[in-house]
Amino acid sequence: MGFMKGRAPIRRTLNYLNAGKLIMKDSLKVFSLHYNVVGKNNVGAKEFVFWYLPQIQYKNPNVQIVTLKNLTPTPFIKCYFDDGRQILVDIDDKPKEDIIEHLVQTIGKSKEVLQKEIEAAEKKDNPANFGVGCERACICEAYGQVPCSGVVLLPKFMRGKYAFCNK
Amino acid sequence: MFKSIGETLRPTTNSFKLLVIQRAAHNRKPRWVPVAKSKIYKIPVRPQISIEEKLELQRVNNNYKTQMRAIRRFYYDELQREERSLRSATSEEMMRLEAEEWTRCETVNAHWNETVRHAREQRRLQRQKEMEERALERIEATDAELRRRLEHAASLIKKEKELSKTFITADNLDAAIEHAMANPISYNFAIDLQGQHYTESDSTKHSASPVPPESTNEKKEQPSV
Repeated sequence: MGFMKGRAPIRRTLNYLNAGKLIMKDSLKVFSLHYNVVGKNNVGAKEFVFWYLPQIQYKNPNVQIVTLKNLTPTPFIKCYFDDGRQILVDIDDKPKEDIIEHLVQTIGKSKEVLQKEIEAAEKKDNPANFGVGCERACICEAYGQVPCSGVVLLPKFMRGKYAFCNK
Repeated sequence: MFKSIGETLRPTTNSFKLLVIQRAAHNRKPRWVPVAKSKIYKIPVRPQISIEEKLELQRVNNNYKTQMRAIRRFYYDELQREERSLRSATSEEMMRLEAEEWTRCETVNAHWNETVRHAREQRRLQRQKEMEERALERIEATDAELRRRLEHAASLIKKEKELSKTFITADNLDAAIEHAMANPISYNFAIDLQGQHYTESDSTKHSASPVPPESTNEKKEQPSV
């Protein structure tokens, strides 16, 4: 599909997908959304599916997201957790913004947790980091870097003894 | 001096081996430089250690190693114990926090669901009311239409009843026949632009005297009486 084809192609841009606010808890496994295509009370749910579902799936690749159309009298969301618990959210006649706000509050990770996770990921992910708690203890372990001078002497032009001495 | 220490202590203990790791001493040649040609066949003389001294050193070294191992194991076990207790404490703490978070979410969600339910109930009642009103309006409209048609029919009947007084029935049939026989009417007439009638008798007489329209009208109404 061409990039600018279809309805609201902005939904497929990386900036839009990354702007998703809802990052679900790790224990949440399945996110199911029931709604109808007709009726005023389904407008919010329909728009939620149209605008926010791409972001949610992009931000939560390990969560199964199911939408079930025209099988329910009123729209609702049901979330299944790994230990068998469930949460049912009634989204009858609610605008999409309210729905996403409520989901962030209930099934989303809190800001503190997210901040901690980001910090941990930064420390582990960045291969340029070295030292205590990182993948490598010393930069000299990386290929192509100058070996530690305790193991192999530096070339003479790098050593002050030869670089600064008065000949 | 350093070299001599390394050579003398190298075969004795592991701990002292740390000392002979190469340092960046400026009086040493780099690692990749091979043995000097003049020293290729030089075999260093092994240090001569007497049996008694060797046994003594072994004993001391064994003691040292045993004690060090014991101490190391002691500290290691202690550390493990501490970590285990810490981990269990943190896991309990985590579980407690998680349970709290879950109850918070549930209460928030229950409140949300309750408000949605209430709003839906209100909406349903409102819709039902509107439907009832609309049904009432429809019923009233159909009633009015029915009433109008009844009235229309009644007026028609009244009119017909009025007319029925002039109808020819079996009772007054003879009289009507006699009346009709007595007053024959001819519709075989001509009419001019002024609305004047010219009957057959007029044309046979070739008389130009017109019959006034009023009189013809009177004649026409007679048989129905």
